Amino acid sequence: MKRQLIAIFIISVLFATSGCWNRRELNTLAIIMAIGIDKAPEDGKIKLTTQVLKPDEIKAPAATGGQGSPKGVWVLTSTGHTIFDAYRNATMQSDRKLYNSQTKVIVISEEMARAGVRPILDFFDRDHELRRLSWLLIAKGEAKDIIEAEHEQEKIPAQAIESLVTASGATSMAVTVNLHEFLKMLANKATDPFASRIEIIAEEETEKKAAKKPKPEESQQNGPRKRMRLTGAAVFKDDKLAGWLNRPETRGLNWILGKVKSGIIIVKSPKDENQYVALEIIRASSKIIPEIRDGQVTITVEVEEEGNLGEQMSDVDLTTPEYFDSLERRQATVIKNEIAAVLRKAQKEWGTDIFGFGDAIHRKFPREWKKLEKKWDTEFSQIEVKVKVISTLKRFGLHTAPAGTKRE
Amino acid sequence: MFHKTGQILSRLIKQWSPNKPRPAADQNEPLSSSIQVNLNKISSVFANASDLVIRQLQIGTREQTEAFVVYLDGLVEKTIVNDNILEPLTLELRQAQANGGVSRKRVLALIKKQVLSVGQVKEATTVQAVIDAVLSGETVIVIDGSAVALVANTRGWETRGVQEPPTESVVRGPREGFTETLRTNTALLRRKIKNINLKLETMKIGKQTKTDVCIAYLKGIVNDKLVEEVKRRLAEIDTDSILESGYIEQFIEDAPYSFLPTVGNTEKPDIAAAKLLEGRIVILTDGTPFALTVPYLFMEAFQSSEDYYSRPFYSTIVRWIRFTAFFLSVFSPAIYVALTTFHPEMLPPALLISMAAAREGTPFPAIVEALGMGVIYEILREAGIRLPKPIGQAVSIVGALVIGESAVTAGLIGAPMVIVISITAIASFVVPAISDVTAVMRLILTVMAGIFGQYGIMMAVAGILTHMVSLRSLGVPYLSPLAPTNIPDLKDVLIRAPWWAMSTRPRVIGWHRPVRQKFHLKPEPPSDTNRDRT
Amino acid sequence: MLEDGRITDRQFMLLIIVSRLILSLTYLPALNSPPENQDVWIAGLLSFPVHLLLAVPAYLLAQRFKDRSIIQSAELILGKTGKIIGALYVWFFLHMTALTLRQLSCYLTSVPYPETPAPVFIIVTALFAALAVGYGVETICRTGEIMTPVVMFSIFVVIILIAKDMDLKALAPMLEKGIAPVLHGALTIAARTVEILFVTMLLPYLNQPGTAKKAMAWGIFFFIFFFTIITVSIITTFDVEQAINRTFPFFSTVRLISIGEFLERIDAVHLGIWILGLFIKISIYYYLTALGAAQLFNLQDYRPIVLPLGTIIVSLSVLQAENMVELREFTSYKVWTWYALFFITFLPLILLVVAVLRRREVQAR
Repeated sequence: MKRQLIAIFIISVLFATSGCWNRRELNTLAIIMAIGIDKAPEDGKIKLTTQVLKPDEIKAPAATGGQGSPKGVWVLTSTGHTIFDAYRNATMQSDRKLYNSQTKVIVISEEMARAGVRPILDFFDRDHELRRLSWLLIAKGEAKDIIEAEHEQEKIPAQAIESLVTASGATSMAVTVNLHEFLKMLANKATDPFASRIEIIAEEETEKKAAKKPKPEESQQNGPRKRMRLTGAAVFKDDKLAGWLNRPETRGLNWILGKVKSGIIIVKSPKDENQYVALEIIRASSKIIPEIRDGQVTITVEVEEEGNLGEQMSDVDLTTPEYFDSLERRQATVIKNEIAAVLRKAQKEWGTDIFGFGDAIHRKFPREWKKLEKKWDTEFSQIEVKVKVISTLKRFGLHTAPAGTKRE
Repeated sequence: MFHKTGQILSRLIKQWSPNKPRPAADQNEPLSSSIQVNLNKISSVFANASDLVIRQLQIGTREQTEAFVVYLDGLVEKTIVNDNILEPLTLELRQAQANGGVSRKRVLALIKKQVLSVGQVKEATTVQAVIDAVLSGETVIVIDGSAVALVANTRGWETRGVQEPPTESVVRGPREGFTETLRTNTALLRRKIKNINLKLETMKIGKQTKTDVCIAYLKGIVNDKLVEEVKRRLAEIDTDSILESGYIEQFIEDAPYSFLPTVGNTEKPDIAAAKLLEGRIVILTDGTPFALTVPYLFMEAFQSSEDYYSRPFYSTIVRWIRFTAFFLSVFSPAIYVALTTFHPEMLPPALLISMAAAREGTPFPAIVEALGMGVIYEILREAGIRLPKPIGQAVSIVGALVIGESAVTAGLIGAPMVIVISITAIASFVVPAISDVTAVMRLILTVMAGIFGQYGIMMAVAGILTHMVSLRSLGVPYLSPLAPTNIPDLKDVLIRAPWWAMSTRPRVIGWHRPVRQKFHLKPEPPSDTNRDRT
Repeated sequence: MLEDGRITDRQFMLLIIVSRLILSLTYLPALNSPPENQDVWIAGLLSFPVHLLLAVPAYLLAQRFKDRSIIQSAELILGKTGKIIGALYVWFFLHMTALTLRQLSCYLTSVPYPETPAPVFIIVTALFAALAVGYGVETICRTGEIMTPVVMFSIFVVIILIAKDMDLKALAPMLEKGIAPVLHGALTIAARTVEILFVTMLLPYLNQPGTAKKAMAWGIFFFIFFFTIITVSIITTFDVEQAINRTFPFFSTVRLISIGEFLERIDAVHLGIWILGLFIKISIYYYLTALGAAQLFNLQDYRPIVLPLGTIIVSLSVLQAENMVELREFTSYKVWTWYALFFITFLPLILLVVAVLRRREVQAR
């Protein structure tokens, strides 16, 4: 026993003195929080923009000055033939080794996405530092602008983006897709993937735009301060970006997938068609039921929704059975319209099965699927989709009618 | 291999060295019937012993007999010597002789049977016996014309009273602790277990110190083979001195090369009694309040006497707190080093950011910080223990200020490291019985973590674990009842079952008579009929 | 006797579980074996009877020669030829040790320690394993007794934490390719259970040899139970297409755990438990190698040859495969199944038949 102990001791000493291969102190790492991928101006090269943490700035207390507090991150740009190459090239500018495991946000530019994302994503799934839990976002425009954008509340913009993603459930007008989910959809032969869409809005425009419906965003403004907004969805055909979904369409997608968590449904008041009523979504679920009859494929989407009366602007007491019934019907119509909008775009315009209809057929009718599989691309646009919405209203809040409402 | 050479060596040493040191006089020789010879012998043996008292007397009236009383001042109860030996010898013997008249030959029996009012009186026939008796605090009466001396037990010396021990303090439970006096300690045990089966076998160990060592066990519960084994190991001790039970511990332990203790110790009679009742053996040593208990299993470190006195729910929680504290104190510096230098990807993002911020600008690598802080902590602890209490507190204040404040603000070390070391230190106080073990384990783990990170920690754990399961304490597997698993015994390890459910003793120890009490002792409310009437 | 330790039937069972199960926490070649789709878990369940069938010759042989390991009984049955069979088994255990060491180092250098040379891990682990081997079978089994429940518990915890990401729809359609590939898959899974051979080596050290049958069956049952929930969790979180592409499927699954903002990145714990479990596996095969070699050469003690064998194991471990692709190819079902079956079932069957024909019984000691 003693001899073995001595041997172990000697070998430990050898290892200790010959250097520790994987040792890296925290203060020798450049911790990446977010990365953006763009097409480089050079031919076929990739431009990588990384948001690197500056620990010193994070540590510094607010004493340094409230308003002009320094940025907590440093943005670094490099190019390379592959992503990994670009990473290593970035080390030439940074005195520390880029460290990838905390990357929370991966932003891919529209241009890159249109060219196909499969080559880009290989590195992120192969490398052991990254996790598949990073959020995947497609930038409307350049990814670099998103990475460079600042946020008022968070010192680390990547954390702000992450919070934007997790908070998007409040409207359900954006999709939240992490790398894991995206790759799963990409790997599935029947399903086409989709991802979150992020865009830059100029600060001064924020107020003006709030009321209007967002038009297709123009281009990035070169104002001093940029803000980002997470809205809508980017839809892929296989690994190539096919197009964008606007907000109602995105919620339509979420309805079908049963991913609506919360949100507001705006309907016209049954009493006064000029006034709006806001119905809050409490919970929703969906079922995709495929059917094959005489070789004809039918998909039934069943959406169940439960809501509350959250706000109303008309001058009437809506808490009567008749009004509630009519509100429920209006609510169902809005949901149906949103679903129809996204179905039209996906089926007719792009022919991308982002809903997993093909997958549902595969699971339920494995034999028939073998025949369908090859021609699914064309078949998908042809299939009939029935939408069934069961929507209910449950509660109406702390008062029944606005102050001073006349009784009928 | 080492074991064998060791045996051969010790055998050789035994052959070469004389069995006992031989002073000038042959001490095995019998007492002479001449008082003068005896007196000379004794005083020559005890030459230069200023605490020796030899009181020469003439006893009797009609036939005056020369006699002397010898004892060591300070080892005897003076009042007993005065009132119960000297006074009867000088006064009452005179009256006895006045009444009947006693021949010189019968005077010895008379003194023994009628005169001495002392509890225990023996006879000694050799010089050696007299010397041993005097040395152990007895009073020897030598009478002219008799080759037999009387030995009266007058032991009584200045002792510390039975006090609350500074270690193992409890909120609920007996407060008395063992003292330095063997007899007091056996009495404390006997008072807990009033049973003839409580055997207390005494032997003397140590050529110079001749320390009384007492093996206590409960016959019928203990495994007799274990008792034989303990006796054999104790008998093999051939050393100069036993000043504390720690000496014995190192002579009888199973794994002398291991950093893990295979002999337990306690300062409290209630704990010792509980161990006896589980079938363990307690070794009491004169001169120290620390009693040894064997067999000693690793899991005993997590049991405290108070667990058994308070109700089972909180005791179970506390036991798990101790496990947690043990793991914290062993693992936290190693995990900190591994995480910050090898696996930053394992840290949650928010934690990594604040840790990276704290590590920014610190000059030393994490492993150096961990080892350095560990050493400083041990220094502070040692200083705090050894110094007189008021200064000890000052040390801890200075230490806390220097380490906690200055080092961090000066940017010498990162604040997280201070937190880690503090947690480690506090956690190691929760399991005080094995705080030395945790320190060694912590060191091994931290060094391995510094070399290999997580893999190093796990290899060290594997090494320590295999070492621990390979140990035995007097034949009992050290990690039992965890490995080999003994599910009934886990009732007192992973939880502390209520007393009515602890029907069996630990099987690995009291294996041949495991039943402690009746089953179905759970208290029940009185039946309904009774309730109606009252 | 070479070994005076005694092990209990529970230790024997737990040893089988941990030794067979632990590699499935990282490498899971079953996902790349037939049926190679979402039916792998069915193949796992069906492999239970296949396991038992494959174990019959080894068990009967061990029962027939209760006090002898397969290496000793082969010599008794076949004489000089038996020595060759004994040598084959020593080689097999040696190869298992080397292979497991290699798999350990491959994983470590792929994920947490990309810059460290692989031999470092092989040598250090082999040294610590040698320490355990020196302590004897009792110590290895007791370490297993402590660690196996921890491994099983950690799998449960992972499954509970990942449950919200599991999509049971991914298991449909069942039996997509029919039953034949699933049965083939069951055979490949069972052929990986080299632990069946434990009974031929360790039966003499069981304190109640009669319980070996039950312990083996329960060990295999528990392994299959955990194997099934592992494969189900992988397939349901990743879908088949992604699952069969993973190098370390269950490890990837653990990395997906994220509950709230704080309970994530628990792969460190997983890694630690995996290393400890694998340490037990390496130790027991290392021990069997040393014990077998000592029995083959009629040595008095196996301990002096532990370190020399270690050098062979380490070199074999380093040299046996050029790179990870070769390692993967060798452990794939096409090669491994037949290689292992030869030792697990074929050789014991031959020995058993010859023993019955020649009426060789247990000889009184």
